[in-house]
Amino acid sequence: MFAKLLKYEWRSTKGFAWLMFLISLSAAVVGGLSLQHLMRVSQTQAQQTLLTVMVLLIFLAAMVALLVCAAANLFFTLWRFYRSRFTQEGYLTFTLPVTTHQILLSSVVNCLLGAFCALVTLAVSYIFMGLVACAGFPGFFSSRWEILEALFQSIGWLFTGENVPLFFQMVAQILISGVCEIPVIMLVITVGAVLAKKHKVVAAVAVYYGIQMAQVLITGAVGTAAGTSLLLLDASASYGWTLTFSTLLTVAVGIASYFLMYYLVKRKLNLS
Amino acid sequence: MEEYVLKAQELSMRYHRTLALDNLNLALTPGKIVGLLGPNGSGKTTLIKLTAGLLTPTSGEIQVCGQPISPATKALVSYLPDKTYFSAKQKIRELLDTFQDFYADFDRERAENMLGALGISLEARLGSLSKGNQEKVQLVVVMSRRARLYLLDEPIGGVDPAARDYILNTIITNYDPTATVLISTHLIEDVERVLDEFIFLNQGKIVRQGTADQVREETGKSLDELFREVFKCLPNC
Repeated sequence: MFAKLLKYEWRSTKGFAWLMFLISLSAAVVGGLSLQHLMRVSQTQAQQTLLTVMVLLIFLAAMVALLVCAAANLFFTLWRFYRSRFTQEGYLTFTLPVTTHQILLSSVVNCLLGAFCALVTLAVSYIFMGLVACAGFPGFFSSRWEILEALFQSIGWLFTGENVPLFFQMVAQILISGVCEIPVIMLVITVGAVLAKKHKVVAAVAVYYGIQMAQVLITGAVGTAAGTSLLLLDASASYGWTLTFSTLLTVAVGIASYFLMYYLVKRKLNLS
Repeated sequence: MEEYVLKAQELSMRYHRTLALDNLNLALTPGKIVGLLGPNGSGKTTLIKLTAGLLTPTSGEIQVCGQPISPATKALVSYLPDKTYFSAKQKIRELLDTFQDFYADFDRERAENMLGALGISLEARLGSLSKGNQEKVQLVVVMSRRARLYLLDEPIGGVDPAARDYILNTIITNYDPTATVLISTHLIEDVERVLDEFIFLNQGKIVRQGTADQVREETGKSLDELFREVFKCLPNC
């Protein structure tokens, strides 16, 4: 049944994901061609003309369009979560022969898929933009391995010596924060939909910022205490400890958000 | 077969300060069309939502086919709310796919035949249909299930008299005779011809219940006349 729920959720969002992907690729082509022109102008050190300024604006618009498409992907999955649970469509969702946990977990998985699609779309679009920009320079492809080697050398310090654990800890923290943020956002949508009689959006935003502020304050307090009590350790270890605590707090908030959302949906939701 | 298809014991539901259902006791046997009748705010929709699993009771118990409300009972119950609950952007074919995926008792061939008889294309989007046709589509999909209990909340509210006749005929001709149909409505005159039993509900309590034939034999009145008489005497009607 859970697989069927996921299929049902994905069916309602895949059309929009594909549309955003196509728009992103189109923006990447436009951005790539604009970047190609700008690179030529800077290479030849030609005078800045009105055309160059316009091309620069088009390039910036393409960059913004890529970010907007990525954000729209995620927002659409969250909007589908709201629509399929807290509007008239909720009458169908909550009378399906599945448990409340399955309904909520399918939404979490679908939102994660939406976020993943947004990231993949963004990455593919940026790479495509770069390739389109460099396509106008035949020498680029013949010396592509030297360019890649130089690129890795410039960021190689991240993967050497004592920086390695901290680097991977930071990457893990970013990924975990991203995943745990989904149930928090779903919780605030639930709070706005279930508990607020008026100004549901305002209520949701207020709860979201309340949770973020609380997390920042707790992490800050613990970080200060760690920095004070771990004076004998170096800055890297102190920072690593704070990062670990922040990650654990993020996971705890994510799990608590899920179960609070479950309670509100199970006990307080009244579709009308 | 279980003795009761729906059983409520000391069932209460409170919304903040409002007591929608007040220690309600109810038992419905299989194979009947039962009218859940009462004025606005009497608790009809609340009882239906509790049975469909959309609400959790404040106290008391409610069981369908001897089981507490759970995914297993939702698989036995076919629910028609008083509003459109499908996405307007969905094609009719996609609605049928959804029901076929989730409900093993869904008779797709029957649904397609009934929609064909109405002249509704499976490739049409629900939002492109008139309100009356949207409600008919919903009814067709719900009644195409071989459920043990059908919950129909105000199925004939807001539609024209011809559509009402179609809806009532669809209910009679398509429900499984071993199943129970619980119809919530305040349009008693239209519905009473199809009812086997009735329940009068007021302020969350059962005021009167029995069979429609019994009422006609004993009082010589129609259900509609009896309803008007009963609720004329009660406060806050």
